Amino acid sequence: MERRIELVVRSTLSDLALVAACVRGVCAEHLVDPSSCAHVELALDEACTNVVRHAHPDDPEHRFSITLCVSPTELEFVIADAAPPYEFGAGRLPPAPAGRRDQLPEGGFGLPLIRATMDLAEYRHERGVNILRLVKRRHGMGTTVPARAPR
Amino acid sequence: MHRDARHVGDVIIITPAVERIDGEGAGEFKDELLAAVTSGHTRILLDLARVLFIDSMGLAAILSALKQMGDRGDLRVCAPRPEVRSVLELTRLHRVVPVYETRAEALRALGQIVS
Repeated sequence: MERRIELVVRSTLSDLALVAACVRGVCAEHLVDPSSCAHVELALDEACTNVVRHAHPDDPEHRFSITLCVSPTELEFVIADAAPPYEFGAGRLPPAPAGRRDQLPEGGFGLPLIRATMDLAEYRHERGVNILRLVKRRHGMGTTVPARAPR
Repeated sequence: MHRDARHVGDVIIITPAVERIDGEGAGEFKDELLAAVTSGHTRILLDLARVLFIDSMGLAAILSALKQMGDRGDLRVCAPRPEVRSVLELTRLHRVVPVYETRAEALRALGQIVS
């Protein structure tokens, strides 16, 4: 049986700690591995921070949504935000830092971290809404993990 | 951001006293690191023992301080919790900012006598 809730979040960084608390609670209940919980919290933080900083810089009047779905096999998070599309791209982490320090990257870690920490990260822009779907498999919960085609 | 700072030899140890270094607090964190650099400290040990969570904004603050220090500065991290260490390793930041399990280990590596 699936269970689903929707969070409506103000576009302000100060509210993201509340989102994190909610995500931590869901993960603690439904994921076995603490490192998986930490990875989910990080991915959701990065996704929401992107919305707040890039799409609607600290505009608490703007709202975006996060839909959490718990199924026997996975946790799914869908972040939906009415905003112009962005380049999700390959989202690879920058290469291992080397060479001169003044050439080190200071940014570009957010989307790659999302990809690196979740089992699935899909982005699409639909009818003016950015939709980011993130999935974490529930390994070790006494369930099998069937193959699942992207939506 | 509340933080502790103390000196051991010529090393300044900065200990953020917050559990999260994220989009909300990273700016202040960065300002404090840069303040240590601009005040002349060339050897900084960042003790992350109290930090439960760090995101890309926090990492950017560390990298910014490292760049500000230039090639002769020395910035190291100690005592990260597993969740924080995982982020440092995923982004390979640990290859440019040495990471130590404990403060004592880091200070020994920095040539300081640990009592």
